Amino acid sequence: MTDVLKYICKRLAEFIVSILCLAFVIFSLLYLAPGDPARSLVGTKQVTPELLATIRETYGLDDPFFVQFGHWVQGAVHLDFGNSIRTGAPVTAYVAPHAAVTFELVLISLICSVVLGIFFGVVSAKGRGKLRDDVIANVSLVGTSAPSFAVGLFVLYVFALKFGWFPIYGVGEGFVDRLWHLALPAACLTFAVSALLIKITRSALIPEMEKDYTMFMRARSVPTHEVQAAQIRNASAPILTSAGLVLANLLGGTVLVESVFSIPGLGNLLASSVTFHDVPVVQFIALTLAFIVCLASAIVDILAYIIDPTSRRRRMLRSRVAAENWDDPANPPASLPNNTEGGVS
Amino acid sequence: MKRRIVVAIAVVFVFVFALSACGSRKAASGSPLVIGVAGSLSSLDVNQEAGILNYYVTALAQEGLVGVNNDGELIPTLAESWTDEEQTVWKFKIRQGVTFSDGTPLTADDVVYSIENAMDPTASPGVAIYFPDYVEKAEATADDEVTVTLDGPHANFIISVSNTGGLFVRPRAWGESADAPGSPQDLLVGTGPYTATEFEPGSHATFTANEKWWGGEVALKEVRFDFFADENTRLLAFTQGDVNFALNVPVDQSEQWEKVDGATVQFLNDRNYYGLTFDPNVAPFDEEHVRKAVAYAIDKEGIVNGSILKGHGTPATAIPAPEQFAVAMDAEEAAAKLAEVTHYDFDLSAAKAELAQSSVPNGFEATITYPDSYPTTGQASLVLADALKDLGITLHVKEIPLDQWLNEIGGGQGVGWMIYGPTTLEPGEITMWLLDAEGPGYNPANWTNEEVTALTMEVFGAPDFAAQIEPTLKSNSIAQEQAIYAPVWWGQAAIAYQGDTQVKDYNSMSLLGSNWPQLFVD
Repeated sequence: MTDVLKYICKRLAEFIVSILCLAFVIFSLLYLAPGDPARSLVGTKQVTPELLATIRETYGLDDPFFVQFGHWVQGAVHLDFGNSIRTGAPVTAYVAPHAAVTFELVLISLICSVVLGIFFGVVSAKGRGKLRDDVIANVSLVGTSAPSFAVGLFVLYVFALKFGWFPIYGVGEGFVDRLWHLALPAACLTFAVSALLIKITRSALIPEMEKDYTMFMRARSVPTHEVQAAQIRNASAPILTSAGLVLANLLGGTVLVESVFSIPGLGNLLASSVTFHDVPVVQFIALTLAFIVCLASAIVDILAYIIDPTSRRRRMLRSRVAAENWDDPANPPASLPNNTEGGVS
Repeated sequence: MKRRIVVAIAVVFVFVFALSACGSRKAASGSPLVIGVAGSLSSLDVNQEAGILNYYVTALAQEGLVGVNNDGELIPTLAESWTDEEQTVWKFKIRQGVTFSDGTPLTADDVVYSIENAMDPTASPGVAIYFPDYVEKAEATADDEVTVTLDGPHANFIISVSNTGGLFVRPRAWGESADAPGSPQDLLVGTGPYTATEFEPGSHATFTANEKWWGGEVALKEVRFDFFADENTRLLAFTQGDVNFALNVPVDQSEQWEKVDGATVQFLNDRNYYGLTFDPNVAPFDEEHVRKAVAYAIDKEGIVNGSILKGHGTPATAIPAPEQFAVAMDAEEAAAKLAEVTHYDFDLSAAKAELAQSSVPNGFEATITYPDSYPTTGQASLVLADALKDLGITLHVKEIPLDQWLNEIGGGQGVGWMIYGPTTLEPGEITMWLLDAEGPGYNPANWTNEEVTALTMEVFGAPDFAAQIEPTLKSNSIAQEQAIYAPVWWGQAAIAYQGDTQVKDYNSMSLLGSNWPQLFVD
């Protein structure tokens, strides 16, 4: 088995363990949260204990914790995540349309965040110490610190109400209309998370600009765009790894942004389902989001491993040393390099 | 570099304008009545989710055997007529020639199925709890006749087969085959003036005119409910003109709504009850003097007319609001009768005097919780806590999630809030529960009183709605003499509309009425 394949297997195993742990933690938290879904169904009206008991029995709410969790895991293995307590509909059918909207929103935001984040990160790194570097740093600071609901309302007021360029709410129908409706919410999410990528890109790129290979390439009159491409390629590992973090931030940010723009997505549904104590729906959404974040994290780690030659070389040496019975991590052999700085790959 | 940035910005602007040109504004698609709603519905089926908004929305697509008009009076709908033998055997003559929105004809068997379905707590958790458990059987006794047999005389059964009582007639075939009736996958099927054509929870629900409605032509071609998770966005959409009509405009935002060009904000009494419940089994509220001391310390006028409700409510003297007696008298006369019910106006001296006679004359500590979705009850709790400080009583005020609050009702808290919105004009609707004084478990106060129990039975067995009023008033007086309940205010709701959209004779029953969009047509 190649090193890459071994690494993929190891990362996938970690991914599965993480998902199982998260499933248990989420289920436990929902179980411990105060409130009773059966009571939420009937509201403040008079209800006999018998009727309440029937509703509770229907959804297995009286079973012990581990029995409930066992039922859930058993169903989940067969892709049956139960029925929504609030609507009675199968969870997957109920959540699917919401998930589609959120994934479209997150995809648009992710693309914009990566493109803008890397672009302005490069601009900032190239102009470090100059005015444009300061401007980008300050705008990024606003992006990371301003609450997304406030930014959302601001852009709604300016670009939707005053200028009338965008709709105030909803998701539209058809590709172009959908894009038009999701433009402002995606801009809000992008504004909030691209700052992270700008900062990471800048930090990763500046050392590359000072390395010897940059100087030699310039000395040999290699075209500027080729020099920059080499720098970016060599700085790509931390940028790529941070993309997983960006995805997590984007998914988390949808709760507030979807609320402000009245988008019927996962974030909105999650918030209302938590309020209603619709356990099967909350469990499914939370796990779906966790699944995506863990999967994205695993994929970027694997990609980073493949792309970054120093990381790969370092791991290869480690495994070779391990094969030579090196079992004292405190005293690595001299053959194992500690300097991970790379060159042109 | 600079030139490239300028080009990039220009491209973005061109893209934005292209999108603006290609996209379609929601409000521009035809001229539907667009109703902006705070929050969302998860199901269009009242049998599953039975919030008041569900009743309004579903009344467009499904009907009961009887309905109500704009004044809340019962009118025949799917039952052309009915008879009752000693109020025990009810025979309904089913209207002929009526078709469901899926094209199938309405049969007596569909009505039987709908009644049985409404009584099944598993199939219909939303309404089974209200549907009378005294129904022994429902059967189709002819092609056009359904007979319902009760376990004894029940004069008020007729309201249970109306849409306000929770009966929404549906075809058996659809009900039995649908995985989740009322969901986007299984849109409502009914006989109403409108047909559910789109439903996206969290986004919108669209209803189009049912050209084959038995009641004749429907005035509006389309009614759409747009759901808003954020109140500020709803206001912006109203300002923009994307929303024509808004329900439940927040009181603290009403001034901003009024500032919108051409907008009208109308407040009306919604008959909602807000009050305190004391559990006489929990110390120190097991002492009447303590309960009365707290009741005297509630500054109802201050809460209603001060900064909390800004005048949009009425200080309550009893549990039912005056409008709840509309079947027998006007609101002014009802208010006068309800003012005669024993109640406690704000009087800190009287509160101190009551507390001095209790076993805790120097005060005590207690906690009151309120649901997060009713912030005004939290603000009113703080006003009460402030007044109680003078008596040496420390009242801790705690916000909790709505479902937790619902779960705690009747759970042995010494003092707690009760919020109740009646869906019918039955005078005894609220008190039949709150004053069902058979003991713990029967009412949220866990209170026992034989005289009140007898009066509640009298309300249950009243030959007509008007006959419920006197026993309701008497039982209220007894409960409040002992300060088991301390009514604080009767609520108001605000609606807003603008432009060409006008509403005629709007009241708290309007959106429960048969073919209610008619109110929006000149």
